[in-house]
Amino acid sequence: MSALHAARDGPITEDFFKALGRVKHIHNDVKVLLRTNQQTAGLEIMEQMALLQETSYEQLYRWAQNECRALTQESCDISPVLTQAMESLQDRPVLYKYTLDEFGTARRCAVVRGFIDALTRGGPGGTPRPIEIHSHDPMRYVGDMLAWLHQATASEKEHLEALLKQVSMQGVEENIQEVVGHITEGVCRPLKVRIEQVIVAEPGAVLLYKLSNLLKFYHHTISGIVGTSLAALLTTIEEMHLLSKKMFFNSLSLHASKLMDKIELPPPDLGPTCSLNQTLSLLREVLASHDSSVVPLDARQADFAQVLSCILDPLLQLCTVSASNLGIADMATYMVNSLYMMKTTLALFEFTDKRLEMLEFQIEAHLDTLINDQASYVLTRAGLSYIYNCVQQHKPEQNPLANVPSMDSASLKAAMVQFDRYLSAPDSLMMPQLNFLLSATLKEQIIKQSTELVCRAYEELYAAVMNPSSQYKEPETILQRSPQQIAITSRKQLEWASAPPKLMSRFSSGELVSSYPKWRSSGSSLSCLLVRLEVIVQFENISAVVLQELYWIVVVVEAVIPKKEVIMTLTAKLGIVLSNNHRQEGLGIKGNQVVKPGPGSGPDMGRIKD
Amino acid sequence: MATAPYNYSYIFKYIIIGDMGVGKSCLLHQFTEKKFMADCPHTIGVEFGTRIIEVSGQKIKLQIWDTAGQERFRAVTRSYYRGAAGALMVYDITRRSTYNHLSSWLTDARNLTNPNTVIILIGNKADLDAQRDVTYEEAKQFAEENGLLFLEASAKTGENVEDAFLEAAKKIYQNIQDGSLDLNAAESGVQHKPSAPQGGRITNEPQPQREGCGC
Repeated sequence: MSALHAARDGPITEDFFKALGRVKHIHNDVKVLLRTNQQTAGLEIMEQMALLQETSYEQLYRWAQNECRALTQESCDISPVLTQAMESLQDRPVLYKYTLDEFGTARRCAVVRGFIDALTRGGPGGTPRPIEIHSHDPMRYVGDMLAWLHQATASEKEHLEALLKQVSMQGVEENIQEVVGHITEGVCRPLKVRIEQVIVAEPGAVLLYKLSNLLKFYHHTISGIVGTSLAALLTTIEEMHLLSKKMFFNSLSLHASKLMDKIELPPPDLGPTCSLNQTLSLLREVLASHDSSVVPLDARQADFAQVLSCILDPLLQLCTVSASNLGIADMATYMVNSLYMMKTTLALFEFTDKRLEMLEFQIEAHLDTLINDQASYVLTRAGLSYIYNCVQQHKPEQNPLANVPSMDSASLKAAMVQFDRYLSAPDSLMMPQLNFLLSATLKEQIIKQSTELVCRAYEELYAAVMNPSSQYKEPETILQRSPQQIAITSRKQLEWASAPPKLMSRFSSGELVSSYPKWRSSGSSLSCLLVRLEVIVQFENISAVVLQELYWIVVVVEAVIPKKEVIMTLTAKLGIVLSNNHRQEGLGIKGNQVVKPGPGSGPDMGRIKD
Repeated sequence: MATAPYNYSYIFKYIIIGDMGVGKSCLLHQFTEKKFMADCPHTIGVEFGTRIIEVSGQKIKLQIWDTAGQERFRAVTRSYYRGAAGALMVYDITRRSTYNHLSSWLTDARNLTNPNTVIILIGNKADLDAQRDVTYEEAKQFAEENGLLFLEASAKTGENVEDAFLEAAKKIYQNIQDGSLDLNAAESGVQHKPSAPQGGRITNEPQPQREGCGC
């Protein structure tokens, strides 16, 4: 009893809690007395105990409040007595709540002051340096502030957990979250003002994007501590995230609208325009920073469609508009080149499947134009164009073919001489536009398919001439070669003539290799995977070693999800490149066998799992 | 529930750094939970653990920040070096590349922490001696040249894990005793509680760590 009284103005001790417990105990025990005929005594004792209890609780509350009020240093050691006090006070919810409020207010002050100190004063003797020293470097500045707050939030939660560890009532977890939310509310204003300043200064699209990712990351990280409750700090971070994202997309749209304001004409070599190259390099930068972003994969995917449509759609429109005054073949070449640049840019990034498919489709359409053009170019130059038209338009009920003007055997023979010349050097008859194609593979594809068209035309001509109803005398002397011979010859000539592919080198080989597992994990479809691999194996600076590593990754990754087709394609492609390399570099690789690297030389497995 | 008899006199902030997959999170887990985490996921950003230890009869609370080793988090994790009293720089003795990267980790640590920050080099996965790629002597020499503490440890078996954290704490404590670590300033990575109570008696005497109240 004296312990309770003694505590009136002295410190609270262990004894206080013992006495308080005893009083509570007596209060309960006395209830028995009420059932006997000692009721008066019982009531008196009860009253006395109740009074004692109330004054003690109030005393305890006042003490605890004072204790909490003093907890304004950066270090905050919760004494066991205070913990015990909170345990006792839970019997008086109002006092308990007030004490927690007091604690929250004191800590809130401490955190704000600590934050301002870290921003402006730094540590002892200037190390660590004040955060604001790096305000010229937006990522570092914002990152340091948020990291400081993350650590402060974690510490504050620990303090609260220490304070309330003996409290057994329900909803302690909510209490903690609520108070942590209150404590961190004070820093919101200084934080917001500073981040806003950074964002409004328009640090450029890429930085804005990185900032928005950073903010998102910390929103995620800090909400892990304060829970998903609507803490003011989280709201502020989210606001800043949305602001930076909005500014980022604004900046992209601005870029796009500038493009459309002043449309650049296609250059004479029908290659990509400067503005296309610039925009693609912006896109690449954004995608690459997206790549290195700290935001989880699924969250990243969501932004992607928007970024792509913000940049790619205006680009496609730009190309179409700027090509509108070109001739058909020029336009097709220009479009294929532009689309090809977009494709190679996108192929190295994840979540681009849909766009890749679309680009591929558009390229195909323009290729068809070029293939037909090239075939008719050859036929015209070889003097077969008119003859072929006659054959096509000739109907059996008309005069025999031999009697049609300019279809006599002499004219045919003259045309065949020219055609023979073409056959001996198919390269000589090539539309000038084809030489402007950036992709050697596409150029080859055009030549190959147009040659097939030419062969088919010859086949028709041959059939018509050999037909007795055409009434040619000794048709074998007019057309000395069979269509099969033509096909074989032209194919052979093409193989002979095909130049080593013209390749691009904008990425380092290491980047290529490390990007493969990413597409894989992002669930790239099989066909897109092949498109991407196609782009990869065309890089000229890709060495045999890198290819082997890539092959190795594919084999390892695919072993988990077996996709034979991918491996086969890659093996074949690598085989060709390797044997080329073998020829060029004299590497000791036998034939086109891919040498599987031994253990230890393979890539970091962690990277694949990632 | 009995009142815990202790309270700590100091808080030391630690940071764990090193390449991806060297076992940073496993070391922390082994230290705080005394268990080996076999299938440890990649750390996202930064994680956090605490434990109270005793050095020279003083209770010290270690607040440990475990960083992600992946390159993409490097910009984020750099912000956590601020005000660390100790840094555990970890490599994997079976992967030479993780050892080769130490100089870049060390540069970061030196640039971003106090001159007083105690750095301890830890060669993890010491249980995999058969696959060893970095000799003890070589790493020891590297540590000596750069003034680092050094230990080989195994998060799997628990060997030397306690010591790794303790050695650093001892060194920090020694710095405090020497007076080379100024406790009266913020962000030294050490927080001192002057009136550490043992008997549960708390007084309202003003605490000298801070002067004035700004709010």
